[in-house]
Amino acid sequence: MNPDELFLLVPQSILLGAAVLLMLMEPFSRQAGRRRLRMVAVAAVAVAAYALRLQWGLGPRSIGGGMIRVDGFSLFFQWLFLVITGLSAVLAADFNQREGIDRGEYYALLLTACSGMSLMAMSADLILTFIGIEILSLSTYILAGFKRRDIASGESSLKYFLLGSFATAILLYGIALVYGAAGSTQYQAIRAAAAAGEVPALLLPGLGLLLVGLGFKIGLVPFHSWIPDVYQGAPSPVTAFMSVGPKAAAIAALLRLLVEALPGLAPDWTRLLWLMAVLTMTLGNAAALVQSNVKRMLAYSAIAQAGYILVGVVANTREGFTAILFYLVVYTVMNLMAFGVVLSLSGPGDRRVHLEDYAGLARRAPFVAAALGVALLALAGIPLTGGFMGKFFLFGSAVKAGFVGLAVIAVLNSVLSVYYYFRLLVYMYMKDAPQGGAESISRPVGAILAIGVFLILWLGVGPDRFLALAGHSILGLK
Amino acid sequence: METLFFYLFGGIALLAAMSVVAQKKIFYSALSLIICLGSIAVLFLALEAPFIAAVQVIVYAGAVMVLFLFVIMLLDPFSAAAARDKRKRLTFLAVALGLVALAVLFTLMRAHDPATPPLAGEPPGGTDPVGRLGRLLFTRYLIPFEATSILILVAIMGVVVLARKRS
Amino acid sequence: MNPLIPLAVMALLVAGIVALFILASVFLGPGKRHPVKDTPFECGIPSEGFAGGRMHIGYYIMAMLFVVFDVELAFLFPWAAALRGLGWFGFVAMFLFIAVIGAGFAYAWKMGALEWE
Repeated sequence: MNPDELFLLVPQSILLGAAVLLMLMEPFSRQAGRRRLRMVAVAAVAVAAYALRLQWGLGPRSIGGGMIRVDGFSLFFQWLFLVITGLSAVLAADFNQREGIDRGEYYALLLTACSGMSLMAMSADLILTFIGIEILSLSTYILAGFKRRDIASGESSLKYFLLGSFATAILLYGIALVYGAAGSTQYQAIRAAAAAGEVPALLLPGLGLLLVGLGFKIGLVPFHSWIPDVYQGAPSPVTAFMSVGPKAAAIAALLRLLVEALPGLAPDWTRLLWLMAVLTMTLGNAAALVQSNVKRMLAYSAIAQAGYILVGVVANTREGFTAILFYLVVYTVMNLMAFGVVLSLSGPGDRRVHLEDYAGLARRAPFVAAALGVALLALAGIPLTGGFMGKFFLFGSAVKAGFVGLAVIAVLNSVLSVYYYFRLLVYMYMKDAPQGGAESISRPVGAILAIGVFLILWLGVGPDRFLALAGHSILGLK
Repeated sequence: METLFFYLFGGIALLAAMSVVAQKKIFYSALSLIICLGSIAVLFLALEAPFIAAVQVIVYAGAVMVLFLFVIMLLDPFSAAAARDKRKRLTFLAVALGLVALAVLFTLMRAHDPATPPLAGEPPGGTDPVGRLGRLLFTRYLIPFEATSILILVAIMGVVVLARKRS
Repeated sequence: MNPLIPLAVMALLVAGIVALFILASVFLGPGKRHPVKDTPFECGIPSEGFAGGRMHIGYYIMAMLFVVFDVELAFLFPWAAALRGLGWFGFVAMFLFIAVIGAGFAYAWKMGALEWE
């Protein structure tokens, strides 16, 4: 390991160092010092982002004999995960103080989760991918159960842990089969083994089991059943983080695995993922129609959104992958906005999360209602928002790749989803408030919402710059 | 001499394994399992696989057994009278699956030709297999190795956060 | 001479002596039964309560921490075997690994996870 390689690992080292520091601050620092937990976490994210900025433009490199790839793809995802982690820390701070869970471990686990996600995007070896997934999963299991006094939080953590461990075991079995077939866990070696003459017999069942394991983390139907309960029970800031971070990380790992290690099996996995995409979109949207709990509705919405993203994977073209990266940015912004509002309004005990609680919100808190409105319009894919542009690129890439049927189903699903997003809008703008107290929202959350509105409109009107960035980022993927 | 060792510890492992299934009290089953795992560790040692033998003791007889005890503590098998009704059907299923496993193993042993090279990777090498493993761990697999320490750290935090007493 | 022969002789001797003692006490001992003698021996303390039911959370914390540090041990073994060839580099690599886990240990200790209520 030479200094050059160490330099490329600096951003992750900063995050992990800060995680250890935050963990030790809990027992070792005095009460007054502990108020600054959020600041330490955000500062670590900022410094790591700066260190990452220095790597931009260096050209693709690999570390540790091809174990880790530092290219546009992994830089893009490291950026995205840093943004998600930083925003999650800011969104969580006031909520955590209100609920009495503002502890050093919370932020430490956010940072380790960020590192796990980054490893998943950077890894070009199944062993490291697995360890990244495990670091992320363990961190989120604990975060989901962080509110120990709350029985829903405990249920969420236990369900996530039991089902997640099972999915991990299946993933590990898949890795073992692929290793047995290819004789190596390195992506390039697996690719070579599949390209040389006939495909080894064990590779196909290995691929299937890997898809089950990663599909669980993304939340693809039929491996989605944990999402509603876990999202509903976890503390709202944790739900906000889980709905964007781990999902994006699992998609990054899936893309690297399919495109770099298993391009030889493309006909097989496009067929499988085609079916999963259709099921995921349709089931997610159909179940979201009948929810009265906003967190649960957003959970089903997150399932459906993963289905849209999968359309780009099925297309299996540069355009499709570019669209995925673009849509992940939009999805992060709109989902974090929606959950930012939910966690600000949820009140003591994280209980006020029903549709009725949003009645007349436009009169009580016009700015908050407007911000949530923009996020919902974007999630529904209404023109002039980033959500529309993202879906346009995703479905367009599928049409160009010859998957017209899939694109039609996706568009029909989008139309269906308008119903439940608009129902929340109707509650906010058309119904009278049962009790008319003004809602208060913390200043950092307000700032995030304002920037979010701006970003969503910008991405919806002038997406060119972001699209070019996404297109540049996937050049490393090959 | 190796043959004697093989039959001695293979026999102990088999007897202990049967005791795991036959014991009425679940703690005796767990203790028998430790004996079984220990004997298998000796068999690995006889196969010149000292690392696997050590892992067998550290991870299986140590960590995995503790996890088994966890389940015993959680599920409270002493008051679970209802579970006894299901037992007959489960016994039948277990015997059937055991026979299938036996048939598969037998076929594999018949088909095995000692001259064929191993399916994947390099053959276990030389006089110092553990040292070779260590060198691999600290060269090619250095990054996963260091990442594992973070994984262990997260697990420690999980124990303290989720199970600590009231603060 | 095969190096395993002394080992086998010792194993046979150990098994023989143990069997001898057990059989001797079975045949030579008076073997009177008594309720006090039939209770399980718990280091001289009268056994108390029922083995089932809910377990104290402390057992789980101890057991989990044991598992975590036990797994760490599995990595030390190949490191020790390869250290001679690895030199300072191997030392630093293992030091980092232990330092991270040591931080976790300090944290668990200071949080009182190792104390029994």
